[in-house]
Amino acid sequence: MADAYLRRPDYADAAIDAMLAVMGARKSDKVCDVGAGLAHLTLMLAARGMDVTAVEPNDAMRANGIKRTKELTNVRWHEGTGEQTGQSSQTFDIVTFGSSFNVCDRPAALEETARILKPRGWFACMWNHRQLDDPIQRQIEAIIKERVRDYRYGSRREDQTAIIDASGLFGSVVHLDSREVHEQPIEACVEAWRSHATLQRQAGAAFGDVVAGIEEYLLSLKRPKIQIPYSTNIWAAQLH
Amino acid sequence: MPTALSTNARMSAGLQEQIASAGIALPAYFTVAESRRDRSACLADGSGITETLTEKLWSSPWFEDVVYIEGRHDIVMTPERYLGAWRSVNDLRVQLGEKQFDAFLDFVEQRVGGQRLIEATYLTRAWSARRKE
Repeated sequence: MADAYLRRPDYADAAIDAMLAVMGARKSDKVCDVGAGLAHLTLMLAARGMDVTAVEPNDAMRANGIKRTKELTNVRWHEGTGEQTGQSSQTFDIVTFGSSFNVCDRPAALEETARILKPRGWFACMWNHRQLDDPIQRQIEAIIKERVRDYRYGSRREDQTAIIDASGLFGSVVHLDSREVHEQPIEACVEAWRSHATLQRQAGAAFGDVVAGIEEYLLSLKRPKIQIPYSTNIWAAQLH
Repeated sequence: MPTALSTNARMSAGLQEQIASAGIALPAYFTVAESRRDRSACLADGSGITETLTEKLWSSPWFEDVVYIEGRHDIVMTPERYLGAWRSVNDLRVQLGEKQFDAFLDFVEQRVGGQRLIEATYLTRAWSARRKE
């Protein structure tokens, strides 16, 4: 599974740059990257000079993340979750959740974020969303929905503004959206679907059949690679 | 009005209902959106440009790194300033026509006249793009 996660596209550079600009972030700012996984976001933050504490509960993921960042002196890793990061109070300028806020108890994760942030620190959560109006992605959606009735993406595709506002902990929410097209070999694309945790959870026993259906369709396109338009969506808010 | 490429002024659901019951026809672009405090009506700008601006910039041969940014903020204002803000919404004036627009302003004036302060939520929307090399 970790190998499949590795093939996932990075967040759009322009979105990360815009987010840090909105936050007024400076080099060496302390960032806690929660649910850091294989360090997709951690690496982007580290490359921009942030001092990153990566928190990841899954041992295999964390081991991979540590391997991918072993040359970097501005990244350190800890076991922890969004609800219990294990970090000290009022420590960080920024707390980020890269494709991980949706698997947390979101109100509890916001409380924990507020605890470990310095006064006026920033929270951000983000996801890469495939553009579902793209013709190939539309067909993939149809294949999924044929086999998994009432398939839902859950909170990872929701506007996060309401849940952040409901916490009463943060100021006005800023939403950023930037797109990038990723080219992916068919094989890597199928592998990415094998790592799709939300689909796996909802499809249950039908998961193998869904992935086989997607694979069959992609192979029928008779091309080595496809273009996948992604949108990096970020919601950010400053602690009151 | 806040400085932005586009701003969406919001009014309460109650006011929206009263405007409708007063017989003032609302424009076709009057859409319902969720606001932080209550379910409110969102009066989008009527130019239509903002509805497709992301797509236009994205497909432009001259720009890259397109980023869309939006944020809500509250402004507390006097009824006079609130009415003045509505008076400045030129796309509403153009789409309603002078007669309907005046009727709308009269209604808003009556509705907010007795209030000391009004809190309005604004949505500021911005598009940023980098020129290609």
